[in-house]
Amino acid sequence: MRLSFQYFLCFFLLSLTLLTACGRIQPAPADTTGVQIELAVDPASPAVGPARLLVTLTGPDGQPIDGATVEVEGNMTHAGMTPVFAQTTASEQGRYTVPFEWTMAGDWIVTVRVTLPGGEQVRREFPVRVGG
Amino acid sequence: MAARPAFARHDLLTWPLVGPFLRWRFSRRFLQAVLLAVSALILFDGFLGPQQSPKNLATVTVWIHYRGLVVLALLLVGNLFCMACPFMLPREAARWLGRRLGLQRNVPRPLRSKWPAVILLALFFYLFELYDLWASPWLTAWVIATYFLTALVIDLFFRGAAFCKYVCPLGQFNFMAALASPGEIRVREAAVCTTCRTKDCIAGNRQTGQRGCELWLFQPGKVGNMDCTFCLDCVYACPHDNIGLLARLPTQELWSDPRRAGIGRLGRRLDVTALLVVLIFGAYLNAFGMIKPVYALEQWLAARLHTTAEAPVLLLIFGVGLGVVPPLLLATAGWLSRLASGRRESVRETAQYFILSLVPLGFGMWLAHYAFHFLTGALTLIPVTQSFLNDIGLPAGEPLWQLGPIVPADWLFPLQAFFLYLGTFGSLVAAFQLAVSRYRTRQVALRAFLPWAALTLVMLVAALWIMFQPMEMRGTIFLGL
Ligand code: SF4
Ligand code: SF4
Ligand SMILES: [Cu+2]
Repeated sequence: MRLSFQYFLCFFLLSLTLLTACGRIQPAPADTTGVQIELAVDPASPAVGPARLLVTLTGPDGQPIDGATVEVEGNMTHAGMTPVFAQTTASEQGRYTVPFEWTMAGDWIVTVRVTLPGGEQVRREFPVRVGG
Repeated sequence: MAARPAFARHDLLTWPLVGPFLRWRFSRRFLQAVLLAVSALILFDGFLGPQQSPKNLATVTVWIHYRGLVVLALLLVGNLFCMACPFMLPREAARWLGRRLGLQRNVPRPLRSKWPAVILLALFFYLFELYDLWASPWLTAWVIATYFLTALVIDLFFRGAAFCKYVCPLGQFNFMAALASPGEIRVREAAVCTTCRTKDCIAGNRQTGQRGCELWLFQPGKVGNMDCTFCLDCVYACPHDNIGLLARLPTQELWSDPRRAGIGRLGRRLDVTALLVVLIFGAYLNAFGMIKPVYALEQWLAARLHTTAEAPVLLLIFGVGLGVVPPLLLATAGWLSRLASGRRESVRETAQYFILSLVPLGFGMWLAHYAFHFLTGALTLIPVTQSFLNDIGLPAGEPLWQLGPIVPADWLFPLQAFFLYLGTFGSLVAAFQLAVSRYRTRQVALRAFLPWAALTLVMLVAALWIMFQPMEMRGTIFLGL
């Protein structure tokens, strides 16, 4: 009787682990929209300080997409650094200009999250090296 | 017949609260269990969580908190990480299994040295740069998993604390840094030991079944912190309650080089010298890997070697940084020092003896570097934990991503410089005391000391130069995009 309880406990803990594991894995949403996200940084060789991120959205038909919400999040590749967030909805010919700030030199990952006018979400990550 | 006073300021084991807790036989198991649970979380998030370094518990806790807290503990008390080592619990299980299966034996004599640890440490520093371990939660988790596995396998086959003494790179780091720490596990009254018949501190206590020191440090002959894991086994074993966690002058054990029980003289062991070289100069390489000039150097070398791969370039940097520069510096100082003292001894002997004096500065360099990461990023643990909890279905609110540093940015360099000056001061004092304890007169000692003082100052300038560069959180991109 005791033994079966222990088995039950093990089983319970194991399934709990697996369940939470599934919750923790965040697969990138499969992109079925065919939307292209491009990122350019201004200045082109980024340095510590204020900057602009230029995000270009193109639909599967090659047409620029306006009216989307563009959120960017910059993270360094080193732990312990606070992320930088920015967002915009204003665009012109599918080009979105996001004011941004590089807070430290080094390697960054810029994640661009786009909510399309239809509500679908697309995201893409870009590595950026920021000089001192 | 207890030698323990009711309260003594210089003996942590007599303090209220901490004292009774640490003297409780299962305190160490308790601490280990806590860290084991933390390790499980780290592995879990590292393997399965978000793969951006600043957002994962594995990378944040290991590269920010673990490293920062370890050096602070070493600065303030001693080798507290080994005391709470999370690898111990599973290892005990492996030992038990090994004994049951009759697999356990003593470590063969030729392997009883620091060489395995020296090689592993150098390899780890190299792989750390090559694979940018700090940038990958997944790799960080793998490092920890490999660590657990290696410890398990070694404990399955070998008796005692072979893993701690000969293999564990983290342990060696702690042993080295603890040479400069203000705390030490030591006998309270030497007189009690001279009348002691049973020597339970090494042999184990027959009555209670408490084992003795697994690192073969015999208390009456034990000097300093080398190889001591602060496991307190000796404290629990001694029937006369004659062992405490005692305060001393930081760096004091580096002022001479006596025979140490279970170790011998540090200056006579080439493996120990190699270990100190890797740990002292490794501090420089590790910090150098994070500043801007390293890009330029890598690019220049890559062009020279006609390669675009990072591995050979880094190998060259590490080969020179650990295998060429240190021997050259030590040989030069050793030669000058021998010349000045006029004593008949080999340059190697002199250098092996005086390298002990560089330990405080080496530790100061680690301290300055790891304190930087800790002070700039300690609070990121809060949002990262929140996001972890949210992800596994325990609501913890919107993560407070704006949290990060615990001191204003302009304090960082002054603090780092302070740690470096502290290390330099410790090194100068140690070098002078080492000279005094080696040579007949103060005159000769002073002369023999000067080249080591000069080397210390040169190394201080190098350290300040590195720390003065803006630290770059370099990562996964080699040779630009
Ligand atoms: S057991 Fe060891 S520390 Fe305790 S009194 Fe005997 S020799 Fe000294
Ligand atoms: S038993 Fe050995 S390693 Fe443990 S605290 Fe005592 S001297 Fe140190
Ligand atoms: Cu660093």
